[in-house]
Amino acid sequence: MARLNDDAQWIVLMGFVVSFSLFFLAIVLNQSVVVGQTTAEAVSEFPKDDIRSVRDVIIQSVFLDDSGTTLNRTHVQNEIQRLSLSRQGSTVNFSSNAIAGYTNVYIHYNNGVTIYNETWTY
Amino acid sequence: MADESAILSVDFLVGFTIFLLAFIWIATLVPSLFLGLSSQSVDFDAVAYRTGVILAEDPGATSPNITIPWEFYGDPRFVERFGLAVSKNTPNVLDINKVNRFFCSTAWVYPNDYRQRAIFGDFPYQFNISLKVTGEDHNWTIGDVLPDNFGYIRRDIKVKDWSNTTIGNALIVSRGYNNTENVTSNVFSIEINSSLLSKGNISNPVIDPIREDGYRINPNWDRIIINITGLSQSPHPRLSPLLPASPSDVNITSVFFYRHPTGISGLVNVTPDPKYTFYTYIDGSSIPATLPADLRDNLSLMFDPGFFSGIPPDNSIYINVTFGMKSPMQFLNSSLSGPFEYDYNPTNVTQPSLKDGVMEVAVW
Amino acid sequence: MVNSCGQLFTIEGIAASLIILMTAYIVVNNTSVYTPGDTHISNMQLEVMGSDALRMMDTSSNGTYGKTPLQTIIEQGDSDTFSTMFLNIVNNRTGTTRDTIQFRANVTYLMQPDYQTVNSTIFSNSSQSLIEGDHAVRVSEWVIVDKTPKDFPECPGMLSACSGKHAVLVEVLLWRD
Repeated sequence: MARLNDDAQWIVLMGFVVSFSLFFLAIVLNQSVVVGQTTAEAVSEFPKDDIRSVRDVIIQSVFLDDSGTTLNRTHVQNEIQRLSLSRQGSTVNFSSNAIAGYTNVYIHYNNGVTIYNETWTY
Repeated sequence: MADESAILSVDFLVGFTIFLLAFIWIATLVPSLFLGLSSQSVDFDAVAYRTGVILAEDPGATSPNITIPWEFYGDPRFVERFGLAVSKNTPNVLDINKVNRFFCSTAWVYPNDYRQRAIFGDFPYQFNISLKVTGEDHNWTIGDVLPDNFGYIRRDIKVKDWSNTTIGNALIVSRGYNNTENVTSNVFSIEINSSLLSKGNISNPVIDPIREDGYRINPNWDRIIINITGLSQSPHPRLSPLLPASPSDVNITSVFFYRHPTGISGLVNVTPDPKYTFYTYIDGSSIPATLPADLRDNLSLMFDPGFFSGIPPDNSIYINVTFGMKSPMQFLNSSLSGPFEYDYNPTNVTQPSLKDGVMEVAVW
Repeated sequence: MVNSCGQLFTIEGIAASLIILMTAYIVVNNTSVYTPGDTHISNMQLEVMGSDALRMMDTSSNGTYGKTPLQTIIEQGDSDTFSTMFLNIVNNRTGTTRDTIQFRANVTYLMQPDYQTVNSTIFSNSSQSLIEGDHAVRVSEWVIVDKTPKDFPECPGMLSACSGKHAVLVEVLLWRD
């Protein structure tokens, strides 16, 4: 049997090369569009304002007093932990001590994705 | 033997031509896929958000080893990053000195200085940053006119103002600043206790120590205005009434400045920087007075931001105003009662207040 | 007689060009383009504006010794003032046109005197209500209030058990009209 004449197959090969490079470029282009969207998603996912707000109220609670029947500090700190867990889905642990005239507050925050630890001194 | 005739078959040419034409057409078609889709355009909002955070929540930075705040440092090369917030603890509370300097069109080269210090990124973004304070009729703006399509963020902010004090007739009488002997020269002293202002508690008891930076008085870098009024009213600072005061009865002889170094008793004389020459305004005049000058009713001392910057931050500052009398008489004098204290007591000093505002950043 | 020896080249050339054309057509048709106005970016902008507004309402204009405006509003149950102040801040722009953001605010607290149940009451809302299909974001702010405000249910038992300082969470849902 006569051998197939494949002299011109190089033209088809060039055609294939061009189409494959087109596909590759299209994939790169498709992925590059999500750059802006992923940035906005990352910004929304990081709980910057949640952490700032809960840190502010924890430090305010450390300076409340626990005198008499209105146990201000105990109530407020209990409410912070309960409400933070039920409404913001985050566990908040904190404690404070006073050493040599300085007040130290230890804060731990975890919302399942982000963990935040801080020692605040005053 | 090799064929050297160099004749191509026509069919080969036709096939190759069709292929080449199709290839050229696709090559011109592909760049239109990228039209309007350059990688810079999809992240305009991200850049605007980042610039908004840098301006509203960061206090700015200078090169290491520089202790002067960026808004007062003369050489732009050593300012690494702009930031309008008062401090890291007070996001969204902006400092008026920083706002003034940031929007000053003569201090910075537009747009490169802003791109390197606030916008960042390799691509030369165009931008427009504007700030509006409630109650003011003009906006602060820097940047180009907005196009149709741009990345945008809006931040709500408050702007921290300066403090001032008005020592009126009632205060003079209640503190006993008029209870003196008859002398020809009366000295009234105002004390600015810098370590109390910078480290002391603003409220007693302490309520929210994180937010205190937004209400702090910084004597080294804030504008301080001291108004002494009602000197011709009754009850007169001079217990023996001489109403109304004749023009040359009383004059202001001098205003001297002292600092009290820690651990040392006694005061050290301070000469203010020669560029701050005008700070004395007498009797409501808008032209600064050269001393000695006659005084009838009121006196204003206006110290520009940075006036006391040469004084170490923990040294108390004393401002001594000397009044000369034509004949011996009582007048405003703090020798017996002690100096007037410029502190966080609202009766003494009108504390810095925060004014509402909004800031918009557009990037394209 | 026509010589058909070189037709191979022609056919191969046509086949190659057809392949390239088909590829280009498929690629251009199927590449989906997300415009920058996608919901994630506008949600992020709304969230930033809402939490800024709540934070500014929780900052007093003159010193840390007084109560912040938000504390006073929650303690007195003043939903109209909340609505006016919040809408004013969140729709404020540097130009003359105003934005069109609507909201609905809840206050969440721990019920007394057992401190076990979490309860949330609607505190204030703007005139337009949330229509199905509006994208809404939620922002929140912690506030310490001094006594049970009148809008919260009366606490049973001794009155002294309810007085004192308590932490509540102000949650605001906001969307653009």
